[in-house]
Amino acid sequence: MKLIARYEDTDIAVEVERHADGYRVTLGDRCFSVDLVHAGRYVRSLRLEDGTQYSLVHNRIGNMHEIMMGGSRIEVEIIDPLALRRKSREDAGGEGGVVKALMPGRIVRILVESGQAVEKGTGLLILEAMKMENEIQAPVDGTVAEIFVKPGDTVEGGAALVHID
Amino acid sequence: MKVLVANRGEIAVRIIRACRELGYPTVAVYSEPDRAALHVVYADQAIPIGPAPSRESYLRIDRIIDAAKTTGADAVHPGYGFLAENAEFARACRDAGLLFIGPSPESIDAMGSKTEARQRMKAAGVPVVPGLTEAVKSFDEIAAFAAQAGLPIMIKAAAGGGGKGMRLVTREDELRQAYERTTSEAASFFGNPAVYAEKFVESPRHIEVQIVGDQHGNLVHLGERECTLQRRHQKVVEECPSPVVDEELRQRLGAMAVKAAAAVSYYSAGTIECLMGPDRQFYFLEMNTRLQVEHPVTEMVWGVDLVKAQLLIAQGGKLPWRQEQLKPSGHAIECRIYAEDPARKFAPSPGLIRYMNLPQGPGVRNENGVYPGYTVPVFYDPMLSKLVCHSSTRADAIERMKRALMEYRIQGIETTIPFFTFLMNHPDFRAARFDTGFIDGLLPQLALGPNRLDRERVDAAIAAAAILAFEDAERVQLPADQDSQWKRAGREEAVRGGL
Repeated sequence: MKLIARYEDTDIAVEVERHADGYRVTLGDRCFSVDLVHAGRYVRSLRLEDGTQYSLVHNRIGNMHEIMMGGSRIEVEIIDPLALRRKSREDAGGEGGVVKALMPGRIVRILVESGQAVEKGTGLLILEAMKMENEIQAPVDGTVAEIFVKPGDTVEGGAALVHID
Repeated sequence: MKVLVANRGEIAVRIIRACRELGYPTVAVYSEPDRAALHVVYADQAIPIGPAPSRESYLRIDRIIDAAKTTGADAVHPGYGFLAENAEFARACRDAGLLFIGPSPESIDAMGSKTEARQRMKAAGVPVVPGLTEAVKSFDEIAAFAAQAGLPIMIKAAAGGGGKGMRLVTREDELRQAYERTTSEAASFFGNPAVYAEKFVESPRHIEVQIVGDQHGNLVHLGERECTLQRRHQKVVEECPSPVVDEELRQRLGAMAVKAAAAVSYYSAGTIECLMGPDRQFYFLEMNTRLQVEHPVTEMVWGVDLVKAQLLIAQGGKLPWRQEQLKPSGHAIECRIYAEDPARKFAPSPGLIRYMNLPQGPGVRNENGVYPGYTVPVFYDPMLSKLVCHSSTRADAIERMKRALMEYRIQGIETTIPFFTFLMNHPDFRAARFDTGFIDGLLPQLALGPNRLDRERVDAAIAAAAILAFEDAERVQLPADQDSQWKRAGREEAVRGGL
């Protein structure tokens, strides 16, 4: 099966085939014979031909694979090239200009007014989360078009806070 | 003695453990989202005390006292944070006929106001950081102090403590905003907006001394802890002993701490926090009139159980040790494992813990408050656990910590585990060359992801991900086959049954 691994914005061609009791994986110009076992729901043990073993914690969300090795973590997207072609055109767009809460919390203070011109980095409001006051800053230069929250409001993660034109 | 634990998370579990070893039944209290929290499921009894916000649950003195009465508890342990340093709570317990596992309300009051504590310590001959000893009445007084003492200064909540409600001011144009923010935080965290200012000690180390006293006037110290490494004035790594304190300095620090505690007739476990400049001059900073988060490092090195000592002392028992019997052994390090993203300036990362592998093995102690399948709530301090490693030397303890951190895996949320791995490898940490600003200086490096995997490992991870994607793709085709086999078996069964 031919796949594409997208890691740190670079696409690498990967081919996976069954081989002996395990797999043969061709990754760019490298080729490994490995076996992979599941040790419980999240732990995977990958063993190379020379016996080298890597213990990985693996979690998959859609095409994204989150893998922890030792104290480090990497995220790699594994794409089926046939499925990719369909998806690529749909991903443009987005809601540019709406500043969202990165985490759930409580609005302490609003630092700007509707109609006010702001620069990238201008403090918009103070969000208290987990006993810390965090200043939410303008991500772009623009004008404050609308403020969706008021002091004292409790907001969920992802909630729209301020719209900047 | 039945003990109600007026706290949550890992410290509530820690206290319940001590009670269980002593044969004391325990009562947990919980807010609505904490029904399935570890401290609740671990206790013998559990009583709800209100909705999520702390001020409507864990800070509700009336509900906690009611819970104690309902369950027939004899004593209340406040843990740390929440009501631990609230004299009104200690008094309410006393008035309700409950033993408060901690110092007297009078000692808490005396040390609870930073300004009053500074006055008392000065009078007792304990050195304090130069600055104001009264709360200011207006911004102008802060501005006047800044002009007279010169920047940098610290603005602090008079009722504050535990590193919350304080701000460093290095530039004059930051002064007003820092004053307003500190006042606002002081009001929201401590219910008292009063602030004062003191001179900032340059390049300081944060050293604290553990003391324990009984109600018969006996007081001992259990050496110092090194608590210099902080982010946002919150400690993240603590050590016992401090790598910069020798035996002679330890004796002087210990004597100062005992003098400070005696000045407020202190009993139970308490901590004298000090700042120490590069010249090894130390100043009293504040007293924490409670058990400290980092108490396990002292326990490991001094071979004591501070929670059991607290339980004994509250019942009028005599201190189980004399100063000359207490001898430190080896070195312990604690890493506070927080649900925070080190790459994003330690921003909170609440959420569902999908998978967890806890570190084990020789010399490893993990004070854990969570479990896989648990959702870390947004309402409280994001500390998940405290990982403590003990060994014979500091170098060995660092290596043991690295090994334990490698075993410690949490998936689903960001944690400070990768940061600690980075720190344990950092040459300045290993050489004990750091001050309280050290971690802030590392933030740019942390934003890049500090523990880069080598190419071999990245390739192995990608290969594993590709195989798992391949297995999943194959599995999609499998159910049809299995389904038909089941159907065939079912049909055969039906046919046989019909015969």
